[in-house]
Amino acid sequence: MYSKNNIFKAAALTVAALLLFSFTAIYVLSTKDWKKIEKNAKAVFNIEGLIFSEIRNTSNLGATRFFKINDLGYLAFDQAPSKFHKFEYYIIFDAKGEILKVEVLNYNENYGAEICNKRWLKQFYQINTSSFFEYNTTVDGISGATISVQSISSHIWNVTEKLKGYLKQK
Amino acid sequence: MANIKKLVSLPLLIISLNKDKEMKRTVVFITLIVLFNGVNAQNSAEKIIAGNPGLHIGGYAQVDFNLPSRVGAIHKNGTLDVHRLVTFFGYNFNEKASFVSEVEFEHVTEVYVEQAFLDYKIKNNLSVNAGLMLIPMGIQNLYHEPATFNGVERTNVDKYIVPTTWREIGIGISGRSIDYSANYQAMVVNGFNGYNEGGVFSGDKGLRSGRQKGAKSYITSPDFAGRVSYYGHPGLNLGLSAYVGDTETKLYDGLDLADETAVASADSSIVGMQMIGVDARYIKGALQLRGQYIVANLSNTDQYNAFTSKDLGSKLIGYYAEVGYNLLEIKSDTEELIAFARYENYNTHSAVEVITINDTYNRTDITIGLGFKVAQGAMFKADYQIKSNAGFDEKSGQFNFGTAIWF
Repeated sequence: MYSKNNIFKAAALTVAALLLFSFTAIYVLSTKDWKKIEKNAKAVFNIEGLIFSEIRNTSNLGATRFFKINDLGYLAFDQAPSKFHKFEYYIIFDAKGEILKVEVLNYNENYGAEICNKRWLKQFYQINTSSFFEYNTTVDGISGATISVQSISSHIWNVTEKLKGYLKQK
Repeated sequence: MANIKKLVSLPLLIISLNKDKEMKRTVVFITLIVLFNGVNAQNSAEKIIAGNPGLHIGGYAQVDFNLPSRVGAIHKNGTLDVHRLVTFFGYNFNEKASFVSEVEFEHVTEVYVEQAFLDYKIKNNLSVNAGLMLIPMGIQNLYHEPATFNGVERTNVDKYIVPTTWREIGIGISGRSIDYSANYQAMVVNGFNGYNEGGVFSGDKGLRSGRQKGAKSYITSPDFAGRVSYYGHPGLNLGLSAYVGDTETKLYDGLDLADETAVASADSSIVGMQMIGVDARYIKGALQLRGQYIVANLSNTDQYNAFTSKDLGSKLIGYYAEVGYNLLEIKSDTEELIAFARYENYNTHSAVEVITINDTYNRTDITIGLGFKVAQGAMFKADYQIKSNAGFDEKSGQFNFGTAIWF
């Protein structure tokens, strides 16, 4: 009876795992994108030999993937929706959770691609995230890219909130 | 996409299998997942109801009221028209393949397909597109949703010089360079129908009547279109568009290539085309600026006009400059009240071969108006247009009022 149960459990686990597979998707970076992040993190912190260690087992962080960068700061990356597709971006934070860099890695449609503009993204560096209203009124709109602007700015806000929440817990 | 991996949150399951008495819970848990996952087995109607993430529904519309001013003692009626109502359906099959379609009802009774193409992402930031596509020329042919531009009616440069909505069947690529802040498009497409039991182009409307729109369109030689836009400076968007090729002719169908006379007369029904456009949009705070310059050089128009008794010009030029100011910039985050003024000139007889220039085709519109954007994609518009041409001293005026939506 015991062994039968074990077989049942194993089968159940496999089935459940397969089913869960079909709707739990976490974005994983390509090597090329990783190299880009490493290069830019090196430039941000102006230091060689950075070590990225992933922060796991904290359900509060959701689908966003967070990494600790030495004791200097944090990296977060995720996907966000544009008009019809999703784009990939990453954020580098300092040790207190203030934004040092935001970059879009891949953008998958021509509509709204203006949000990839590095100079536009600079407005998020050290942006005040103490109140959403203030934050939201600080962000400059882009004519013709409204959906993507709202998408990336609300994502940046949420990711920052998640990281700050995690840092408080610690 | 190759770099998407699916991970499993195992801890939850492991906890539930720790003890035999928990097995019931496991079964319930799995049953729930099965039920949840059963969403996959749906027909298309059910998918819409369930809010399938792959499906996108959208649309845009403009309903216009045009009221021409009296000319002397001559009264003119106003017109009220559901100018266009377009439904958008898009479907993302997976991370790489998606379909885009727009079906347009124009003036209520005419039905057209405005776009219908498959987009296949071959690598990050680069896709192949095939099907019925918009020709990337100028601002409004690509961004023609009425909530994206000022004024009730589209600009006439984008009617007489660029025959918006200009779309043909073809294949092309569309991509982006994030490092250089640029989008680009290049495509091989079908050309205009220039001869169909008679000449189709005219001095007045230029190439507009030649659009094949993917409706039983025919082809002898393909044309090429491309566009690059640059958005490296925040608030500024610059575009450069080009189109080259020959127009199509029905006389080539069933043509005996050994018959020199027939070939010569068929060749007379073809026009060579080179169109180049530059455009700029700039927004800074409450200030909005935009402008566009389009020039089309046509060759063989002397033979075309002689053969068809038409008066097509050999050079078509159109341009406009517009200043807009959002009066609610400081007061409101959600609403905009945009006052604007636009100067526009479009000349379908900028140059001619053999025939004489018709000055009435050199037209100027001055438009001043207001746009009240009550939400992103929803606008009430009102403007007044003063229309004139180089052939007459008298100017004509027209009030336009419209409702514009896009979602």
